[in-house]
Amino acid sequence: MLPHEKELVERLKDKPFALIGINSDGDAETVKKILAKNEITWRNAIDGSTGGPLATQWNVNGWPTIYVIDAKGVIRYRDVRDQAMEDAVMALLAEVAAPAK
Amino acid sequence: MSRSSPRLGRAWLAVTVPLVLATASPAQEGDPAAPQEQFTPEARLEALVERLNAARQEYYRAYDEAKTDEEKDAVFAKEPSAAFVPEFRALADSIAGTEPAAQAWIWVVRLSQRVDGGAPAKEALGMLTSRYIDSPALGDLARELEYAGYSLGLDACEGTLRTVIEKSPLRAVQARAQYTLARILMRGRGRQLSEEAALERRAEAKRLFADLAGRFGAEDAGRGRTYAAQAERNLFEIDRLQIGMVAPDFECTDADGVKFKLSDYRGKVVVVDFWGDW
Repeated sequence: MLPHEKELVERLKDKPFALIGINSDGDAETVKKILAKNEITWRNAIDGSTGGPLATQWNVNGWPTIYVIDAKGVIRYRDVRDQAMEDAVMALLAEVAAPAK
Repeated sequence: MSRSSPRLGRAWLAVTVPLVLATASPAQEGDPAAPQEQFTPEARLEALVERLNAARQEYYRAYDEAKTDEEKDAVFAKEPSAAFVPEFRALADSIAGTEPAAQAWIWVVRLSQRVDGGAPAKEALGMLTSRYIDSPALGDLARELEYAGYSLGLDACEGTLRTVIEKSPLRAVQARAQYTLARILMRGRGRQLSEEAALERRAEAKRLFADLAGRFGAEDAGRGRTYAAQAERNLFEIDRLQIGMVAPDFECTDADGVKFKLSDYRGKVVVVDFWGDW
């Protein structure tokens, strides 16, 4: 999961794409160490715990939980991982490049 | 996050120990010469669960020690759950009518979802919803069924839960079954559904969650949450987090202490990944 995410973020760094982590491990100091250890470069929200405010609002009770959101802010896919996640992202990037009429 | 059965097993044991103490019997465990019938149903069930847990520990140890994929496959083929199904089934028959018998049937459900196309599990569901419908253990059964749709089919899971909601005399069991049924309806795991069918199921899930909040709102739904709080979260998911809906905005703080909003990323394709390093 993580190696594929890193590769995707690197490959798409010039595209209108962002990966946002919502991390449940603890406070900012804890998460900084985890990000450094795993060489994670993308932005991570500090949610504090599995009962954090974002996980609670978005009704997350399994980790990882993934939503893929298009350039208009619409939820288009959920619970896609690895190649399925990449396929979803590429399909939505193609929409940005050639908007549907 | 995977739901491991050994963890459930331990949680369950913690519940049964007081039962065993409460029905103290002259027969003691650990005397292999004594015929099984001397032991209380509680002690017999506990002994069987302990043997299952020991077999699983041995299985995990062997799996960890296996070096090649072939060795791991060979160990995996001997995963002990299926071998224990006939034992729990026989015990349930032998102590029929007791509370531990209901629990033994729930073990059959837990262990046999991938055995003989789920036939033993379905037989167990039939027994539990007829002979053991009064049992408080049916709350545990409801929990088992939330993710059983893949193996047992949604019809078996939903039918069982509807019967429990209607016929259990216990409020806690009714509430748990209604919550689980609503969760299954909302997520539709285990079946490819048409868009229309999925919408209809989510509409029923909404009615069930609203009713749950109304009738059982203040009661404990586990993990320190009330059914009112759980219903609210799930209704938010149904109303705001479905595919095709504009994602609800949120504001949060990143690891560098900088605040940001999801809506800051409008114009970009965004993957939102709820994760933890465990």
